[in-house]
Amino acid sequence: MRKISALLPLFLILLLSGCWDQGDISELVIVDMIGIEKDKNTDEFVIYLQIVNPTSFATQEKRIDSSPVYTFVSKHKSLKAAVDKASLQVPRHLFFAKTNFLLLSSDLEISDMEEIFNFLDRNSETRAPIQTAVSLQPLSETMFRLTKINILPGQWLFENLQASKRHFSATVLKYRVRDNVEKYYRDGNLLFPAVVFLDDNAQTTDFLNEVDTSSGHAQFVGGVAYQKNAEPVLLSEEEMALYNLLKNQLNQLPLTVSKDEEVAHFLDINRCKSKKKTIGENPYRFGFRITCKADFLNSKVTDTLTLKAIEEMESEANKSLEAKLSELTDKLQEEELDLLGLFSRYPSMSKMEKRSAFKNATLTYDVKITVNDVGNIIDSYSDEEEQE
Amino acid sequence: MLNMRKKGSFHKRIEHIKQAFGQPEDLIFHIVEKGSVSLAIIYFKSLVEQVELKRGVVKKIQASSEDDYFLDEYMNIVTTPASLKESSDELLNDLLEGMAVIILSNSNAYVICDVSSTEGRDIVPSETEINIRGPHEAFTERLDKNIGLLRMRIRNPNLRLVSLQLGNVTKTKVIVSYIEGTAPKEIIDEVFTRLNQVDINIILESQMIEEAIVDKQASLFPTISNTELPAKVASRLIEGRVAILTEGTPFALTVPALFTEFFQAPEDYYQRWDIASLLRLLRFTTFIWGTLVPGLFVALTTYHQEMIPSLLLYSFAAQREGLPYPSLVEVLIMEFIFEVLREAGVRMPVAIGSAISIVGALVLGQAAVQAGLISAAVVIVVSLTAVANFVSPAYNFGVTGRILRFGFLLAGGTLGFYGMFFLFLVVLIHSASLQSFGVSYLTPFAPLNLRDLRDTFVRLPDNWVKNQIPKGIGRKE
Repeated sequence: MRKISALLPLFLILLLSGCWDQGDISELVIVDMIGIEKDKNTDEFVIYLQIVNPTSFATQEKRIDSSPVYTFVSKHKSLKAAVDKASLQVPRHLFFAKTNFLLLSSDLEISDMEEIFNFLDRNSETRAPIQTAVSLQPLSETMFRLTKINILPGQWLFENLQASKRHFSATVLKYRVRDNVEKYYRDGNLLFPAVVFLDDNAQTTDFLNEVDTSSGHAQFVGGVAYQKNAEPVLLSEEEMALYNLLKNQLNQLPLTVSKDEEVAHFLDINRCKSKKKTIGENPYRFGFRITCKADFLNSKVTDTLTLKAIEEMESEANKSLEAKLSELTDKLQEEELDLLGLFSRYPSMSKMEKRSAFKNATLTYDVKITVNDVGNIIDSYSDEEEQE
Repeated sequence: MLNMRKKGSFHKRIEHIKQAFGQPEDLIFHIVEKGSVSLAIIYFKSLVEQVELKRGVVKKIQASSEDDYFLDEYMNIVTTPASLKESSDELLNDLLEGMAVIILSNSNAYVICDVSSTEGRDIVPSETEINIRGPHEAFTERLDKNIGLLRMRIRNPNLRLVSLQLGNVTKTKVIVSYIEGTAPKEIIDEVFTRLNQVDINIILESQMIEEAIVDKQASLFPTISNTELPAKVASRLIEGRVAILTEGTPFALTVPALFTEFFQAPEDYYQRWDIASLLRLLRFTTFIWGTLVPGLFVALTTYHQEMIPSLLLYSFAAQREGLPYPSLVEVLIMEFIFEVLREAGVRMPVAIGSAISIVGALVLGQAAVQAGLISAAVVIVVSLTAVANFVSPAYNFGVTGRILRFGFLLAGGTLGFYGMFFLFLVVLIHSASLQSFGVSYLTPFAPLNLRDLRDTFVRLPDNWVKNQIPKGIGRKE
């Protein structure tokens, strides 16, 4: 009897896992990127599954004549059924655990997002971080594009987003599908980076004026915010950076401080801390106290840089950043878009009440920027000479 | 046994000895008439040192005067070590041990002269336990030489060498060695108790004794250690262990044997402690690698693909495209091929041994991959595992690793990580329950002994904890 009870855990383990669970690698199709849009005519989800063709790039004898990915398209009212339909085209198990990127169409509504994230959150294979972005172009074009360099588009976008965050606006955070679900239920809205795919056939470099890039084929251009019963709101790259600043996730932000149109100082704002304070209720008033460090990058001003000039520069920079933040606030308030989740801690308020309260709230900013790195061009004695 | 006293006459006694051995060719009776007394020198030609016998016994007796001598006087005539035995009970045994026996017609006692042959292999470097720095001498098949090698290293009056005879048929001489006052009394008593209970007919190698006295036969883990290095035996004796040397084999047994001992090479103590510690860690790591990696590989590629980094997964997927067998079968095939090659490599004559390595390299390396039978990753996993297995300084523990590897492979292939973890727990519980001659097998980890940890995963310098005998050995559980 003791032996049987000792063996019991072994039998229990047989229930957890076993030969019937096995799926050899060769029986998987690895989904690299998922694209989802909606067919407005039939009200069906269109799901694009970009799956990896490993033999084209993961072997020493690379088959450069074949594509690194294949894209399958499937349509259905329900996403689950659309994926099931897609699996009829591929006689293997669709493997979502290595999915890098979720590309959403810009014409999706927030109710569609609920279905998308519900579907992804329930799938046990998609718990890994998946970067999500909104394509400003139709997915029927973008999902069939390949990178110029021979790597997976989804992986390329994933890494590009990470890198662009590192070098520009936000600090690098890995998002899970779950984070989007939580944000939606907490703040009532969703915010994704926006991506545009550049024209491969462009003969000129004109497009570089709009999107600053010189390599690759896609560029992140700000963000798209969704909320119920409203059109999506497009945020510019700078507005995304300011949003990240208020969320304490800013990595760095370039700021131009100009005395007049011809002369300007260029600063790199970084190491920011943003503290939110509720000043009053009815009407709601919120104050943000922001302290930042700045690196002096360059100047078009020909005068000698003195301590006094730096103080002036800091003062100008404070005003400039406050103005930019106020502009962003005005835009968000006009759209009734509480991206910062200021009213998420008022559970008794309905979503509509929250939106209207946000619209009528007063947001004030107190910015203090300290220039603490000016390189070697400061002349600290100039002020004294002038006084003499 | 014979009772010659009753048989009376001298010739009858000779005849009886002849018949007892079945009149073999190499049993020599040298009969000399000395006055009124008949004298016989009896010995096995094949077991004695003939030059010594002739010079020290035969010629001396022949040269002696024709006077009647009493038997005990012959002990002074011969120049070899001699002793008188009153009873004839052990006469046959003495002959088998290579003694020359002198019997007289006027006495029922006999004299034994030690002219046993010391012929045998010279002392040569060990071929099974290689080290770069340190003594290279290995034990031989001759017990007296082995005792000499041991005495040379421990010149201490407390070194005890107790002789026993084991094997109902082979009557093999066995020496139990320990240092009085250092080895715990409980362990010494336990060794003698178990050796005295050994009831087997044949002992040709120390393994046969090991099997008869081991704590638990149904265990993969060796609880008795063996070595052919006298320096290793000496160091273990000084640590309070007991050694068992067996006639006819260069492999000495030492008890108690603990888990950590199988990762210790003599060389660890002959070079800087930091280098030795690094190598010690390397051995532990490779043991884990050699035991777990094929199972982990199969579990990962069969059940837990999401745990493989993306690019590696694509690479595995590309390699597995179009292969006929699942990962488990692939690894089993490769492991089987490798084990066959290894066994063949050990048994084959040296002259054609190189052929095996060529065939092995071709079969394992290129041909199997190119033929689309197995993936390149499997070849890498199995060959690395095989190499890792050779890092173990103790061959018998390496075999334990080999068997465990197959267990983990099957557990990983059928139940994934759950199976592997379960088997790991089973192995851990089993090894924690093992004892070697009353000492816990996992000492000094369980029971924990912080001081003894200095010589486990790492080896700390001796002068940090000076001249201390591992406490764990003396602990009676």
